Amino acid sequence: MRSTAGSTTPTGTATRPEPADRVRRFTTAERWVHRTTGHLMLVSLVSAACLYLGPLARLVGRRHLMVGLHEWSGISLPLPFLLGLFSPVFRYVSRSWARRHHARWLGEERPEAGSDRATEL
Amino acid sequence: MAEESKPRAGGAPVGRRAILGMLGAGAAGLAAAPYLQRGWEGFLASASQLDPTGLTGLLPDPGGFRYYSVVGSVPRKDATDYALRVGGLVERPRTYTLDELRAMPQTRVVHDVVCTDGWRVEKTPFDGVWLADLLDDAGVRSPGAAIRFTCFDGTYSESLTLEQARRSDVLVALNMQDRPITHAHGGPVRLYVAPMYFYKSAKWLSGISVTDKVVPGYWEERGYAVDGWLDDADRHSDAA
Repeated sequence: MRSTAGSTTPTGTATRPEPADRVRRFTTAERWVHRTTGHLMLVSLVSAACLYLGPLARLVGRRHLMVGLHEWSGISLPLPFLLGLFSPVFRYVSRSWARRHHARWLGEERPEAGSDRATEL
Repeated sequence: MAEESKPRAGGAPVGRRAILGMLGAGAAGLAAAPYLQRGWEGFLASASQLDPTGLTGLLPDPGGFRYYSVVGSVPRKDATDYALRVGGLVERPRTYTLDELRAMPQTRVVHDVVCTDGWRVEKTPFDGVWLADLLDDAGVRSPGAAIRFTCFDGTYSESLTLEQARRSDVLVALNMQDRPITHAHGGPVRLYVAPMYFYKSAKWLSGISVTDKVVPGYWEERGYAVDGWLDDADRHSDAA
């Protein structure tokens, strides 16, 4: 059975054309999860600064808004990851990551190449 | 089903040691946070005593008062343009200037300032006019039963029952720590309700209106208790 390279982008979804001189290392879903988490973290940090650094607090004020931003951006930090699990690609990547590394984590033998189908999580 | 991609050279991209280490560090951070914060506040408080540059005030959590405002910017007022209106269910509505308030009998209240966020400034002296004196001057008429306070930041409001407003530890404050109250602390005139959490002590006070029932203030509409008693407050006493 001849194996072919697996698709790293969702089949059937529109993707941006690959720039000729660049290799996309991560999938759309991975990038989306990464960036959203990053932005939420940034909002959380900046709003915390506006609450707890005196000079910034005097400049910005709007305490109710800042408290809301800080609490909600913090609480929603895991959301992009959880939503990403709805994306088949992200799920595939996480699963293959788990398949590759869980066995080693648990100190078991890594599944033989080709036996993936049998040991699929 | 897609094939497994080739494992990257050099083993796992994230090691077990790194992940377990991060989890451990996170748990240790949570456990240590209260002690670290207390130590940091104590350190900054003593450092600020020796710091003529005031740079310690720029660091997070410097101890002492923190600046809270619910709006973006607050106009500055002084003796030339400050006015306190007393109205609502009263016989004689009137407006006080800052000088008129300073000319009235002044009372001193010394009490711990306690914020709902957990910070506390111990034994802080406030001087000002008894709110009860202003109410007597205006003459509360039936069915007046509560006070609504408004502020010249344009948004903040507070409330007290008439009984609370007449306590001897409730001031229309002009001085804090023996100096005129600065703009950042709600000057030139703020409310000081000593037996309650500090959100009850409205900053930038500009209006006192007698109402027939309690109208919840800004934070009270957002889930705070309408009666913000401190745990150790004597709720029915007339004295501080």
